[in-house]
Amino acid sequence: MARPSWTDASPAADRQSRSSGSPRRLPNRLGVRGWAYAGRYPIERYLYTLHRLSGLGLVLYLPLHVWVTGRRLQGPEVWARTMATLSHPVFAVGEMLVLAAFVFHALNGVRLILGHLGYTLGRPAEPVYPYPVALRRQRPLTVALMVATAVFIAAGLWEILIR
Amino acid sequence: MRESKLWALHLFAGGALIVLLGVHMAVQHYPTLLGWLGWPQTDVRGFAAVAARGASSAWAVLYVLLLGFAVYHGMYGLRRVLHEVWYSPGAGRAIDLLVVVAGLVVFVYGLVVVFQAMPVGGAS
Amino acid sequence: MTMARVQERVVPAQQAAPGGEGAGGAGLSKVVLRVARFDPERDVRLRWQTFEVPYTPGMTVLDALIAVKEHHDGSLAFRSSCRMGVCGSCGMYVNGKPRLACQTQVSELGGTVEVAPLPNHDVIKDLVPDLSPTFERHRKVHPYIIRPAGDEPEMRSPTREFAQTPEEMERYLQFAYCLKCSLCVAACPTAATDPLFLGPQALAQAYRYVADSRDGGWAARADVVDGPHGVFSCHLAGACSEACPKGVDPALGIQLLKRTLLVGPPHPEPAPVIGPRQTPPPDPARPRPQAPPPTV
Repeated sequence: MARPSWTDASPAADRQSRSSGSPRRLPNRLGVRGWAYAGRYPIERYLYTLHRLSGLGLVLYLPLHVWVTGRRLQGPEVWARTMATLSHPVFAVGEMLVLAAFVFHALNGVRLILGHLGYTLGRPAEPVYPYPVALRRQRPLTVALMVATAVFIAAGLWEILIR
Repeated sequence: MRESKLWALHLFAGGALIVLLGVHMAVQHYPTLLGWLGWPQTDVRGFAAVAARGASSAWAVLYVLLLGFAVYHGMYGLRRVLHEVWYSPGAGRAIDLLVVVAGLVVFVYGLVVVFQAMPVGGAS
Repeated sequence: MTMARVQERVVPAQQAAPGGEGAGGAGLSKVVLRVARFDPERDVRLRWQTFEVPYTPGMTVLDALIAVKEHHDGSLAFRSSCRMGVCGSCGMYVNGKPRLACQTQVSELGGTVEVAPLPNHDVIKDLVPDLSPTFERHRKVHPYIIRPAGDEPEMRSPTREFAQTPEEMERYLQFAYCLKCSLCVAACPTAATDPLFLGPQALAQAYRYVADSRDGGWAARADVVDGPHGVFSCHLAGACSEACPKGVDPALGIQLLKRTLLVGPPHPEPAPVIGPRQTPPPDPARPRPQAPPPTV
């Protein structure tokens, strides 16, 4: 598509002419550190980080899990030995983490799927102060899902570690 | 393929996983809850129970769907994260290749595990 | 058109309390200003400097910075122009949030103000960020109405107005308030790692034009936003909408843009090409009224 005539000369060339020979700039991108903490933002920005973290954990767990499941092809003795190894407390805690990651990722995922498709966010409105913000309209859903997450994780804790 | 098609499948797989993995996790980790729902509580990790599930075609269908959706959803998600932290020229293709190969390896081995366990598969 | 409906600024309780001069800010008499400095010829990282300026009621962060520049350190660099939240020049990271310095009351911040350049943008000097990547990405999404082929004569010399219902206007109006101040890009966690990401500003503007009933440029815009660093790098963190000083709500626009990629734009066809206005032939029964002869 042709550039409309009212825009100034190529921005890239403009930038180069300004930067050549002139003092350098300070890169100020927050990087992955900015996922962990970047300021006083609503809870959803931190759920973004947690969603990534839990997702990466589950992706790493998936091949491990398929491999462990494959041990049953070698007969009941190998299976029994594998299960005995996995009953060690370290693995029980690991299993708990996987369960917690799944519960969080699934329930937060419900909110994300609905939001991505434009549901729960409401419609665009005229920005009259105090401004309407779509994320605040779906905040009750965020809270309800996080409460549900806590309940399921607590039940899982009881089932895996206590019972 | 256009990004929107891949992403729509990612979203669909995510929705399906909530149900499929929900069933899987409930069977594995919430015996009390299942008891309330009228499901007999058994030793789900014993070899007999595992072999019985492996031999049932209903469970096999569940596991294959679970495997397929989980591998796709996981690998697409991994690809998104990698694309957003690694953007040097050429990185895009390397990432796409990596997730396709890794996904295929896990998916094929998973299929072998599911079908070897079936009586028709022969091994057990 | 909005002006009539703008409500009064919400004033914090402590500021509304009466009590002579200095009442604003609950008896603040001075403002402690911690300012990040970067001299491109000497520094390799941000340096922090502290200034104290006398508080005056109604003082904004921008007023405080101007006071520093006038009375303490003339070398302090920051960008500002309109002082009323319209130009979008004075975006800064103030007390843990990207804000417009001219729209942020010092009294809201409790007397200690920490000002840094906008994150996720290169720093040119002190508080001056390089906003040109934002403008470049804005240009990428074709931020103008694209009319269907055959409408060139009307575009060159318009013969009449485009009628739009209030509902049609409400679909994009909110997104049209964008100042290009880049606060949303500073807040976005994906923009924090991915310089190729189109960013909340450009994506919301893409939707602003997609949602316009006059526009027929969906195919061209879909090509731009439907890529590995396009609209799907947004994961609904929502920080952009919280940062936006004009209530544009980029997060909403971006999700609606995703929905558009799956189900198509809110209006299936752009408003039809309009020909010149058809003037009805003169009716002999009702002659055209004549203006009275001039009296002077």
